[in-house]
Amino acid sequence: MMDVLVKARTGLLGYFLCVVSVLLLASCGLDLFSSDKDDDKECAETVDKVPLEPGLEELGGYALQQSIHYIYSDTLEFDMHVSVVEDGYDRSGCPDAQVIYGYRRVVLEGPNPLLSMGMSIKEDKLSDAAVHIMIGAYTFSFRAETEKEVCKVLGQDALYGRVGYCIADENCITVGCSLSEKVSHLDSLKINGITYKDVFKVKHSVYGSNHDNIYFSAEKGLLRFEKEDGSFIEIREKKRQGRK
Amino acid sequence: MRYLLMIAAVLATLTSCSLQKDDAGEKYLAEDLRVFLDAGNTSDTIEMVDSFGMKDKFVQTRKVKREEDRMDFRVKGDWFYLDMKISIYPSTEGGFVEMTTSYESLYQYYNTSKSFEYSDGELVYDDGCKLGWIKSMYLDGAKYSDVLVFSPACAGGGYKFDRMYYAAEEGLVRVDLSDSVSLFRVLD
Repeated sequence: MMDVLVKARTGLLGYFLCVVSVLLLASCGLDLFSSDKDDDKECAETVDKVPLEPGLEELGGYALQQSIHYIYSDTLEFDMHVSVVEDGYDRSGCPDAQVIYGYRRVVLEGPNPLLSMGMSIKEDKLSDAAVHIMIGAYTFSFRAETEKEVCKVLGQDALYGRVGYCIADENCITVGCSLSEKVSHLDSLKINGITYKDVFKVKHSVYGSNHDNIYFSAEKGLLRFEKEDGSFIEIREKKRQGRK
Repeated sequence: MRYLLMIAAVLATLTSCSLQKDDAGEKYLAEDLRVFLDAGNTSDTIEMVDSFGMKDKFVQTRKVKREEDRMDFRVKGDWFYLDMKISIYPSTEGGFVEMTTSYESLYQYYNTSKSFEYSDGELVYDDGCKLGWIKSMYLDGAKYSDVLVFSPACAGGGYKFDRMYYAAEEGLVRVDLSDSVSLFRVLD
């Protein structure tokens, strides 16, 4: 009996020392438990893929290598080149998601290596598709709802990064955003003699005092980005020729 | 035997932890580096113009803690995504200058952070790469003094940025990008 008790006590002490040792090792910064293989295993268990609905996948109709002409504050003309058009399924932030949603991503790059425009649209069962547009340090995010009234806009701190973010559930379905603001839908917008239909005007909101806006259409993509100080970047297409 | 090994593991762990926290010598900031603290706390918006003529606003802030001999500077653009941080703080050798630059787009995220240690009037990275230190330079008719020149490529990775120029008083004054494009400080 005593022998059993001694063995049990020794075992407990050994167990205690092992735990202490492991905790101490971890406190010294050793990452003992990370494993990429675990992530791979979870990824392989995904079962359902939900593609983008027809029509939404256009995201401006951009094609790889295409050049789009823009003007900067009526002083400078330049081309943005489409360097990425990618379709796929996304599980970002939810490695164990059982349902993953289709997306399209587009990147336009300017003559200045620091000037780029990124656009993505991702299917979302909650409210159609989520659109994200990144221009430099700005991120405009909104949902293309069926009523043509977009409800969610993310803000971004002018200096210290994003202040707004969306929260997703375990299946990557957005359940709420930290900032929200109405986004206007315009039936049409005329730029340089060309009329663009179904335009979203999205206001970038930082503490309610910022007046930067973008104008975006599903057909042509980014039309105009205007800053509070009056400077802007605007698409400058050649006027379409009428049919003879 | 198993018992002894466990105790040895604990002792080894404790020893390694205590060694990490053991500092040799007192930390201080060399007189040369104090000039970067003289400008004090600032927060302003500057304009930079690129080689094509496009202007962008950059917000820059500098926080100086004199009791700690420490300075933290950060500058960030709007359209031109550039996020750069500089920290100066004491060390046993006379101080560190830590340069951090990052770039983010929908597809790319680039970040590099390098600490240059003061050594006989120079700022040197582990691999021998030195942080440039210009006593004065002229740019578009303006004179800037005590300019740090950071070359990310020198310190092991320089995506999009070739050189950045930081003046002790004025902050960011010039950025050389890849593809021979540069950003220049616009005078007030």
